[in-house]
Amino acid sequence: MVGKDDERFRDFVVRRSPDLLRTAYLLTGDRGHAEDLLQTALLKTYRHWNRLRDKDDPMAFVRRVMATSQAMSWRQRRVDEFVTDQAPERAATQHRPEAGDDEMWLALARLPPRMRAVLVLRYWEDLSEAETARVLDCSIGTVKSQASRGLTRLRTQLSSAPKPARLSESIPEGMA
Amino acid sequence: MTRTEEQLRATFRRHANDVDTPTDTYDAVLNRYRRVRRLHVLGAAAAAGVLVLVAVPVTQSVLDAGPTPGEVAGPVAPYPLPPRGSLADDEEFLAAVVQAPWGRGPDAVNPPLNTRQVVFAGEVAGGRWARVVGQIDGELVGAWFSGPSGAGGDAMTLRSEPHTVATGPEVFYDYADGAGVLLVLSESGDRVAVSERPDIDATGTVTRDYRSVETIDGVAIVDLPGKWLQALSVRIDRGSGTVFRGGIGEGSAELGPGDQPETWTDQQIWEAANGALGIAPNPEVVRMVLDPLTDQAGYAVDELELSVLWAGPVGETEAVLVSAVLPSGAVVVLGGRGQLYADDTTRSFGDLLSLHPSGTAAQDLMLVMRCDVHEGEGPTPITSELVVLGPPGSVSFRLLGPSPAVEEPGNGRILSVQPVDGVTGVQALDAAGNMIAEEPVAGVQDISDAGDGPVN
Repeated sequence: MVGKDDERFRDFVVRRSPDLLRTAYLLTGDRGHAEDLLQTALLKTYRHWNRLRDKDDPMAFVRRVMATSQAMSWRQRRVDEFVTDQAPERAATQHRPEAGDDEMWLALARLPPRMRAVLVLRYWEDLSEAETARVLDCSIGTVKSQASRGLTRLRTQLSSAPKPARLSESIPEGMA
Repeated sequence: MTRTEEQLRATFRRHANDVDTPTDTYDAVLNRYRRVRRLHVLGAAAAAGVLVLVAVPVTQSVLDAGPTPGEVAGPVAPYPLPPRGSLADDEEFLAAVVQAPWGRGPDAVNPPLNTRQVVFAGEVAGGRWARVVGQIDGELVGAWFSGPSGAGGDAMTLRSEPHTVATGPEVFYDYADGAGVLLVLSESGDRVAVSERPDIDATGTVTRDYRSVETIDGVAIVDLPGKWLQALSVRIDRGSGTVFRGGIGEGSAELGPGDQPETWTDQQIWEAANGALGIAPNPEVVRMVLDPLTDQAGYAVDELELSVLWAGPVGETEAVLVSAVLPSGAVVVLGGRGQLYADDTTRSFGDLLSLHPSGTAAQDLMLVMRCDVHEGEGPTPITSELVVLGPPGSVSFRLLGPSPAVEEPGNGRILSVQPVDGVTGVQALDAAGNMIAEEPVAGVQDISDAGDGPVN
């Protein structure tokens, strides 16, 4: 790729990287992995640049690569699992919660990446069910079920998480 | 909207706002591209022999360079199958070969040891072969190692340059001393069939006959005659469908340079150019344009009756139109361009390939060839030029597509114009302005029917 196409790609990266990195961060929950995911997706975009239909704003392509790559990385971790009699040192995984995280963020970290991707696309990117299905290359029914199950899991985890006592709960009924 | 949905949106907003603006993303992506590109080039060089290595400056080691600032080595899915082959159960051999160096020195491509897997290890063609894959910069890369029969894993040496690999079925071949061997890596239970070359009948129809070969645990090893290695096609069936049909080309690695098919001599080309229009053809350009006949279709030079129809300049390249009569009587017309550089490297473009039934007089055909004109080594065309060879009696041409249609005078039976965006076809006109032939802007017809690789 040379000349004008290169310039257009550079413009796209400069213009869209902040938004894309935010989405990548919400998909992975980790800044380092988010940067890696974004760079991997942009590398694939660069390779396909000549064939992209809408070079002015190939956001759909990048989103798709990021979301599907994220699901792939989860499958790879499953393959890598092995039996050991020693507890492994905890690695800096993409879902490692950090200090100050809220309950919802912690609950999100426990979702399978594909389910999390559905929620990110629906509730952060504000994509419709049909658009989300296109990005993830699945049926609308799958998007609906994944979103529904994801929200149910979040709700369940939030309701079971220990909560600090609220002031109103410590005041006898009728006194508030 | 439920309370959970509201909380979710608020959480997304809060955490997204904490993400600061990335820096140097473009440079990081470009650095990755160059490194991965170099792996592709090394793989292509292993297949093609020599030219690419001359053209590509090696400026940075893939391994020794390490990640650039802002880059994080990302995991990719490992090769999904365990080792196979007659040595797959030899743990000592596997443990040694997985540590074999992929190269030495500053240009070496050495994936980290903990990412390496042995995909195949076995006795092949009187020696030992092993295929090892590993990960570099989020890419799965692979290399072949070989050694004499009975060699230990630590005696295996790098046989092919590392190259990027896919995790689907893979096809490899090696050729030496007049004999070739084909090795197919697929899944257990798959059925493998091989077709040495396509058949082009008298009507110009391309077909292939495949013969089944023995497969053990998804691995097929087939002895082949060297003659048609580059024209062969492999089909892999799984269940009731086909999962792969492709040749030994892009997407599969090759061991060694293989055998280059015999091609036409300068003398044969000059004889074939007797009566050709335009300028005297450059034999090297003619040979490049004829490559599909020997490489993709597997024809031998003495099977074909060659004619050069026209030669002339297009941009910085030399273009030719040639025809060949096949053994079945069918006629194939090829058009293309070649560029020869001072350092003896070459570049070629195939612009036209069409098949015609037996009895077709190629010298009377009307041929329309669109040539995308490139600047330097850039892959993106900067403009396009149309080369038209009219039938005898043509003096001018009408370009179809633009409204109103554009008429252009010919240089004899030849028209060469640019730019040509929007032109869909051309009419040839005689001296009285009557239309005597019409042809669409044609492209390159597949002469090999080898398949494109994985079948979805």
